[in-house]
Amino acid sequence: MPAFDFEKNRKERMEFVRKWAEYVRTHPDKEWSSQQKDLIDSQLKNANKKL
Amino acid sequence: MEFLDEKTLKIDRVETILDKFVVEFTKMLEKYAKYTIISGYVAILLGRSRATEDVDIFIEKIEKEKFFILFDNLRKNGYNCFNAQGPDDAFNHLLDNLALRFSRKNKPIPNIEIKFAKTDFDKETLENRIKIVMPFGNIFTSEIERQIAFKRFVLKSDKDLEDAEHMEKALKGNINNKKIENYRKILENYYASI
Repeated sequence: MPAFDFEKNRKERMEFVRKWAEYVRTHPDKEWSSQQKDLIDSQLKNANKKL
Repeated sequence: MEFLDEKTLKIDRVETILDKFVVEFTKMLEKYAKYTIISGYVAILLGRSRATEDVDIFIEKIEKEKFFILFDNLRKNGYNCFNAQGPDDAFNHLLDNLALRFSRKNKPIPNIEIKFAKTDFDKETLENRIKIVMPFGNIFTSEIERQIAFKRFVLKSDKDLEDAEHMEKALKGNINNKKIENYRKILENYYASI
């Protein structure tokens, strides 16, 4: 199995961060925050279920 | 997102579980102590696509008696401090520069870590806080440039570098790069001296 390329992964993640930030900057708050809400609420609900 | 003035940022965001928790907690906290939210939650407020389990807050140093009333009110309103035995122990934690961690009873996630602002940089962070105005409540956070500098030049983990990048790009046109550079110098000098 080839070694995991951490540097490539880091760059790809940062590229996504930049694209998402651009989306946030250029779209209404309600639009991006609705998507963010789905992500945050589901993670927090699941986290407490696991405890 | 829109800056209403230099110290007020309006975000017309949809409320998350995390936002509700933070707004409710800080509403109680601000009756007793000036506070400012720092760290990852600030990036999340500005739209970063991630969650967090804990929210870090600096508060001004308050007298023991005032802290006891705050502690008592938090408990009466359903918050649990899970790293101190009681108000005395909790206050000593703060004096020792340790953080107190509060959550809703029987629901450890999300939680809030509060700490006294100790260093000059911490105190300036508190003094220069900005107000975030949202449809469901207002909160105070660290100035964004200060937050970017701290994450980019002090914390430097992948997550922190991504948070800094997000804040800078999402608020492009409203970020003062000279301020970031100035905070970088202050932070580097401080950490070189300790």
